[in-house]
Amino acid sequence: MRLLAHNMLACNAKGVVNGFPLKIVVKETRETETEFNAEFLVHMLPKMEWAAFVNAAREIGAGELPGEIPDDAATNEEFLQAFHHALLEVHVEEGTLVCPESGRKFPINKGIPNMLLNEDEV
Amino acid sequence: MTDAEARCEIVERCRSIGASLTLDAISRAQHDAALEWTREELERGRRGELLGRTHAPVPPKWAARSQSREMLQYGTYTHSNRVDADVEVASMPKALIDVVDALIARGVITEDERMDSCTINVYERGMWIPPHIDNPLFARPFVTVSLASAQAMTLGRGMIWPEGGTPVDGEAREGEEIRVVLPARSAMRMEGAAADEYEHAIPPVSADRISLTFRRRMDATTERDAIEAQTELTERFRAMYRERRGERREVLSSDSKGEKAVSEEEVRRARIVAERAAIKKAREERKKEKQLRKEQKRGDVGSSASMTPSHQPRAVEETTDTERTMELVKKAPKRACGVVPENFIDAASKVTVMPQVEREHVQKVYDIVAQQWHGTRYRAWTGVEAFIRKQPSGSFVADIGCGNGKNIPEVVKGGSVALGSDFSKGLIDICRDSGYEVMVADAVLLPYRSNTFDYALNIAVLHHISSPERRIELVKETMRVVKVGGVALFYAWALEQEKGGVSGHQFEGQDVLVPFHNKVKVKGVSPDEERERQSRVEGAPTHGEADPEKRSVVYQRYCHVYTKGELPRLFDALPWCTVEASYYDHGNWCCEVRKIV
Repeated sequence: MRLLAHNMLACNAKGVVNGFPLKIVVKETRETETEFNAEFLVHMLPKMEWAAFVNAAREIGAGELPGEIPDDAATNEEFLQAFHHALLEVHVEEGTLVCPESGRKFPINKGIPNMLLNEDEV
Repeated sequence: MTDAEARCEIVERCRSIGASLTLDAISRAQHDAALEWTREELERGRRGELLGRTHAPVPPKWAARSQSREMLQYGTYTHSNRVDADVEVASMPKALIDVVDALIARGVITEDERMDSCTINVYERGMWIPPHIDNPLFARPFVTVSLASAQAMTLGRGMIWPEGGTPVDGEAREGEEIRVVLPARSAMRMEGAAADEYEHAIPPVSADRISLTFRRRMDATTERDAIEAQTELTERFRAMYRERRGERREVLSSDSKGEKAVSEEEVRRARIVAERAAIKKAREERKKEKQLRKEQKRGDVGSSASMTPSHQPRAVEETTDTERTMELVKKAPKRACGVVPENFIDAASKVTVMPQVEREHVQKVYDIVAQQWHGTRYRAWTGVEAFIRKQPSGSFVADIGCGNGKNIPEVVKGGSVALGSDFSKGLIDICRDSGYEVMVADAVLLPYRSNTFDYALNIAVLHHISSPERRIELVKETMRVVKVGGVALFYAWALEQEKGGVSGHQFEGQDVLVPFHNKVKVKGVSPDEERERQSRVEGAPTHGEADPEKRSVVYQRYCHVYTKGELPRLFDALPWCTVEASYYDHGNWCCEVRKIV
């Protein structure tokens, strides 16, 4: 799981009103090199929940990002590289996602989050 | 309130203020004809062949703000929303009268409301129109027909957009607003508060768009009161919004986040004026009607004069070229699939609870057969590929029920990024090994934030869902996570199969069991031994049977196959979405659905 996925994830268990953002408890991460796609990155910026992203990047050791998206983000190469790295190049291999409201834990095994809920949770 | 309920409420709210969107207002043929005519007319305009100021080129001052659009005007000349009767423009040409006729035939407007003027706005990607109230010298309603692409319109009171710049992600920001997407071939009818109290605006468009706005000049001699009332009304609101914007700008520039809303009292006062105007207008209209009835008695009247505009049911074009030339047969099966026994489908207590039949005969089957399933499915179906190819590059895509991820390479090829999910862990493990970004999740209960993905794929998922309620819940979830203006592609197995078709399946009913032969791969191991081994795998289905002849373990997949029209009808429950295309492709029924609110 990369932060690209994490930033979209919310706990949808019964009764949870604000299941975002899920806290990441990291056991193991892995880094890969991913092709830089500026068009996609710029397009993703307004979709991001930025504060959650900055915090998650810190949680998984994917680097420090500015607290707010800079005005010149689209042309700021240095910023885009940092964004690219945190969004697409750091994988959480083993760990847990924790719902901020209910405390429900979702396991991440071999890079795959399991978001399935039990019958009594839906 | 759920997300879907909130969206239904917006659709209702639009209608209640006088903004009613009719989908499929003109046919595809009419759309294409109008588009072609407009493009040719623009060429004539650029060559200076059109009368007077019919063609308006791009004014440089506006071009600098991306705001400017090339325009064509017929019947009445306006400039910056001001009417100038002294400037000469061409009268309504036949091509546009044809569109007006189509709107009358479709019930969008009545014969009485027939328009005599049209403004054509030509948008290139990124162009926008700031918030405004239409000139009061035009009668209400006015109607905008959209061509070429689906783009958003926002309605609001005192919306503030960044000065001269492009709002982030094409969104208008600040102020109370309603956002609606106007798909190609739709008609937005505006009257009442939507026309006179609310401003409307077009955020920067994501693709080329042409809009035809039809209006009727009020006759200055007979309706002076009405004109004056309407002018007073719109002026009042305009002034109010100007003032509000002024204040807001000051607030914004002093870097405070405080928000000052238009006061209820102001709205109330303006509404009183509006009501007075409406009464006057109604009086005028009654007078006109009487006049018309007199004329009718004399026998010179069109048959549609009494038709009232109404929200029309969704008109879905079911036929495509493929279908027209294709022979759907119910004979000569290659493989027969048995109808499920009575009481086989368990009714779950709650729509979000996965019924036993789906768990045992879908999820667990895919988990156990994943490797062999993967071996024979290595690329997206051609119809799905074609859909992916026509989407913009740089998109963020949800592949819901992604299976072994066979659609993802095509998404990547187009310069986009996919996030896949499937409820079968066996299939998701295969995706992970291919390096795709995926997770295990239930398509009926997606763990995603709303309004995020540029488009979504939902391929061959719906035919594994065992109740109508859950099918609606599933499509609702997919449309929830797509952004407003975004589109999703749905494929589901069809009851009607082609003779000698790819799958060669023949269905005896709509709820069927389709056998899957999981081959025994290890030499010297009997199918019985293999069945035994597989049954001990954690979470394996319990119904596998050894087939000594084919050396396999046979599992039964539950499928609900769709009859013609059944798939698009699911979206009737989602008035905030529109089915843009509905067709048959290689044994599947398919829908392309856009989120408009």
